[in-house]
Amino acid sequence: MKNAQNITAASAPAAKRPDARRIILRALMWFAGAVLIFIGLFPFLWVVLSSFKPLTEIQSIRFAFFPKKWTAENYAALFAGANRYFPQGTSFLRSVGMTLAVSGISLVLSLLFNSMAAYAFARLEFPGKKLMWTVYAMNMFIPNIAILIPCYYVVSKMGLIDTLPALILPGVTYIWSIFFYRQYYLGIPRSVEEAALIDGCSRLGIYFRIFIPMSVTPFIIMGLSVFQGFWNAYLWPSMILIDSTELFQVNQLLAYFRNTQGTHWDLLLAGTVIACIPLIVILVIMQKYIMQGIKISGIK
Amino acid sequence: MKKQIAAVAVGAVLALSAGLLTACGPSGPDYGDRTPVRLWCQPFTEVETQDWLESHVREFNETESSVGGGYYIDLHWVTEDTWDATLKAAQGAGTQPEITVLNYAEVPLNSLNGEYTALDGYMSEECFSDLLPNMEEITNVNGSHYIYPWFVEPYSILFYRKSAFAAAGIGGAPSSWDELYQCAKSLKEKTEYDYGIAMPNTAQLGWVLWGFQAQDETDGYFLLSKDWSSVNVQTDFHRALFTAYQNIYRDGLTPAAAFSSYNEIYPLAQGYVPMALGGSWSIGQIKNNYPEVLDDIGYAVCPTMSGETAGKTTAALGGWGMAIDGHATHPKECGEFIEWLLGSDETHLMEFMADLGYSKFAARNSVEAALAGLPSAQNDAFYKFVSSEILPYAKPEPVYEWAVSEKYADALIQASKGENVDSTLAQLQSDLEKILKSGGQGTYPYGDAQ
Amino acid sequence: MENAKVRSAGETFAGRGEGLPRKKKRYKRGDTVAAYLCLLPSFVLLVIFTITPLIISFVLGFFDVKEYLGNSFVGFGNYFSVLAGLQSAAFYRSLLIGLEFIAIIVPLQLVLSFLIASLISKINRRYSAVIKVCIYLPCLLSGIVVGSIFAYVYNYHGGLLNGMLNAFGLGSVDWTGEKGWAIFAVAFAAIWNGLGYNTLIMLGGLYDIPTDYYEAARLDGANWWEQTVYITIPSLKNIGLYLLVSLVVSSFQLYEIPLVIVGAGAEHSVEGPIYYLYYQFQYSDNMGEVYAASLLVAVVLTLLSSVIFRLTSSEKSMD
Repeated sequence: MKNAQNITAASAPAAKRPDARRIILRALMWFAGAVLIFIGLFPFLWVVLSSFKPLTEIQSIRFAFFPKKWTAENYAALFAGANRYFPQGTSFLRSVGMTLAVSGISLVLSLLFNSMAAYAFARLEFPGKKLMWTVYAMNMFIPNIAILIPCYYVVSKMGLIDTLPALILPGVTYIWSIFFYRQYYLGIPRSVEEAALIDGCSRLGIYFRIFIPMSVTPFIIMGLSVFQGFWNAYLWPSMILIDSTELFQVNQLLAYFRNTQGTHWDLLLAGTVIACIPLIVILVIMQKYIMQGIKISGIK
Repeated sequence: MKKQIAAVAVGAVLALSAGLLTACGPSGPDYGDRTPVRLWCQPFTEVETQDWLESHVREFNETESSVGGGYYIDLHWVTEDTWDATLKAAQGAGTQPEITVLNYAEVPLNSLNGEYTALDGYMSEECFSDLLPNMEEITNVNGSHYIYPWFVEPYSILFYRKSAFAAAGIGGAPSSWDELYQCAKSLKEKTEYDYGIAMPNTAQLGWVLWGFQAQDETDGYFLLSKDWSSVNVQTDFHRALFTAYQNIYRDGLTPAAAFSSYNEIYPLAQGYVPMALGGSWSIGQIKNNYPEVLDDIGYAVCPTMSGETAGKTTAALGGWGMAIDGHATHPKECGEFIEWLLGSDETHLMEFMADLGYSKFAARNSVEAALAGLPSAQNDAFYKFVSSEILPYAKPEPVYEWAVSEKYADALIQASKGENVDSTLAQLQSDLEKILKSGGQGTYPYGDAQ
Repeated sequence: MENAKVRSAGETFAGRGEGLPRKKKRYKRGDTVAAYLCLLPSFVLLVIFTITPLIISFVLGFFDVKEYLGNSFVGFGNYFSVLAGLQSAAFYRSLLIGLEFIAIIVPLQLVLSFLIASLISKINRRYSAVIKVCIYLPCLLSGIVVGSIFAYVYNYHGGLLNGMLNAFGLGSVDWTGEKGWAIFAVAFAAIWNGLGYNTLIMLGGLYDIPTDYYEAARLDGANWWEQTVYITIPSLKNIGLYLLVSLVVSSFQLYEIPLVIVGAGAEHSVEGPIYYLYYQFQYSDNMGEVYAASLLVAVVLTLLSSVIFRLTSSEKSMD
């Protein structure tokens, strides 16, 4: 299997003899990679390290990368004492589990529904297609704030306030991911599905048997950002979850550390770091599939 | 890929069931089939505030009037970030709470929109006659009361490090703006500090300086004339205030970009500046987070233009209270609760003040009087200082729309960056006139106005 | 016989332009049913949770909305107020700032993400995996957190950037408070926040370019530059269009980062359209005006995007 990676002359057999230009190029690329790692990692690491600082050090105006005095108290407080800051009936740990569940369910629905729609727009001809696409595409440009309150109204009239579906359903249809999958599907040569069509495979069958397996790369890229969108949500959950404290989402809970007169940065930083861990774990697991994606969809 | 999706789905279901299982943990007390009367409040930074309200709500729900009346108070905390959106959405859908905890300055104009039920019919007369005179002035709109105060927090107050004053040979706190400038200058020059004073210089200036604006003795209402018909900023008073600000910035006596938000006193506590403006809440932050420097913290009333401070307004009076929603279905029950909690038994509020380390103040004469006999309050120097020298003369925040105050902040920031004072004020005058002419109203700094 | 069938099937496909309706179009019943089935779930949710609310806000845009006193019809009054009344200056300023963000962020994001994706695709696997994860990390953070981090980076006192300047003997700069710098300060934070996501998308696109294209090109003696110009960039057209439109829209809508990091004196130089809308949302006592303004912002975005679509004439597939 050949892929774009192999283009590099350095990995081609002809390049076995050391070549000064090539070595310099190689070194430059490694250096550029190191710079990227630094840029991406540095502020993030700094947040993690700061979460081990006591409040007075976090508030210090003198920049310090490492804590002068290491403390795990922020984390301890998050799991034990912080309940004082949260509404009754909530707990940080449970909110992590609940957010994981909500994001997971939303992710599956989002991948499925949106890629189905994208498939229809990219591959099928049907009456009203242009109109439908216009209706969908229009929604890409509506600022959230335009529909925030009316959407609450709709949800409340459906009796969904303080329920799980209200957390999940409004965000599932995501026009940007439909657009993204559509663009991706448009790039897949038609020859791929011809054979299946001739074998009498139905259009839906083609979607499930050919397009879904070919969508690993876009699913992972979009999936990460969709999952993260649900994971980081706090305005919408805060609006619709008032009474049902058992459903509280993690970033909704973290907002209780930010108040009118100041922010409990010590607790907020620790909470932010914990809230990032599931995302990082998913990222590390999933990144390799972006490579694997080509093994399936790379067409000769 | 199917496998991955299946794995994600299984994982999600597992996490969900785990979440729901743990959900069966401890939750609030069960009030059976009593009717809930919903109360929304923003969490405050001092967590003691939450503790106090929650325990008193629980206590009320066991009282005769609650049990016998077949209802209970159902308290929920809505975060500051999301408060506006949540409340507006809930009002649109009819799911808003019956009682809300509000910054009282936004009440007068909103009450014109019918957002609140007048309290007078549901609370006894004595509750209102007990209010401090300066609170009566703002809670009473056209003869009706729409909000009942919980606590007030005067600002600005001048805080300083006693050791720095001693090192610079400064005898007492500055009382005029000129003295403030001189004081900051000698602190910068004669001590190790890089700066003389921390001054707010962000959009927060819109409300931070209300206490200063209120000192203007010309007949008006903050930046406007008394009846809000004309603008009152091209005066000697504002010229002097702008010039004082400008001079402090010009000579680098204060950092070009503020160390922190005005709400936070840590630049003083951490020793980055020897002097700072703050509110009564600042002392609470110092007591909680920086107890080791408490003894070195001095405080004084803010300087005035003339230098005369005794018996003068030097601070604005921020504060919070409870209001009944305009569409409340149980106004009688709401009134009962508010009167029980805030309007009658002084011990409730006295406990609150003590819990908060006397950094917040009551707005009722009877509570003030009761505290006068309480040793823990009397031994608290800061409490005594504020309640005798600041509180009686403090002026409630202006209730006109926020855009007015915001323009003032813009103008002052320009001046502090060196723009000509007269032309800045002229520009401000015309900007404010435009706002007045448009007839806009009722826009308030929610949450900022502390 | 068999071959003929294949060919005709192939021709049918090839002859079908995407989204460009022929004069007489014949639909296959099976296709139509399948298409509607595919669209059903997303469409139902779209109608309930987006289009219905949108209609509500469109209607309310013509009212002076007062929840407690009742709404009163004002016709185009709200639109007038935003376009030509008291709000107009602030509204137009916010649109202009949105355009400035687009002008700064979009080209940089596209070029950087393309370069980084090319880099990642060319170095060894383990190292590139580390780079991928590291540059995606900032994308995991919400705008508020990114803003907070950069507030420290840009901090006038002891911030990272001024610390570096001082080390070279230069004076401190008020990055977030000076009008000239503030917009770049915000833009840089936004680029940092979004770069990983865009790079990953570019990378996905790069990996999907069939290798035989390059092999053929190499046989013809094309160098890296020629391969990039004649193969890579045209092959990235579909994904590039997605990136272009999504970057334009997200840059125009930048809100959380400026909210957190803006300093005194530069408030009005980084307040884009969404910032303006949230401000109105918070302080206006007539939500009708906010709805009117937000629909106007939507119109501007639609116009911008349709210009992009027109310029790139994207609708054609590239098989």
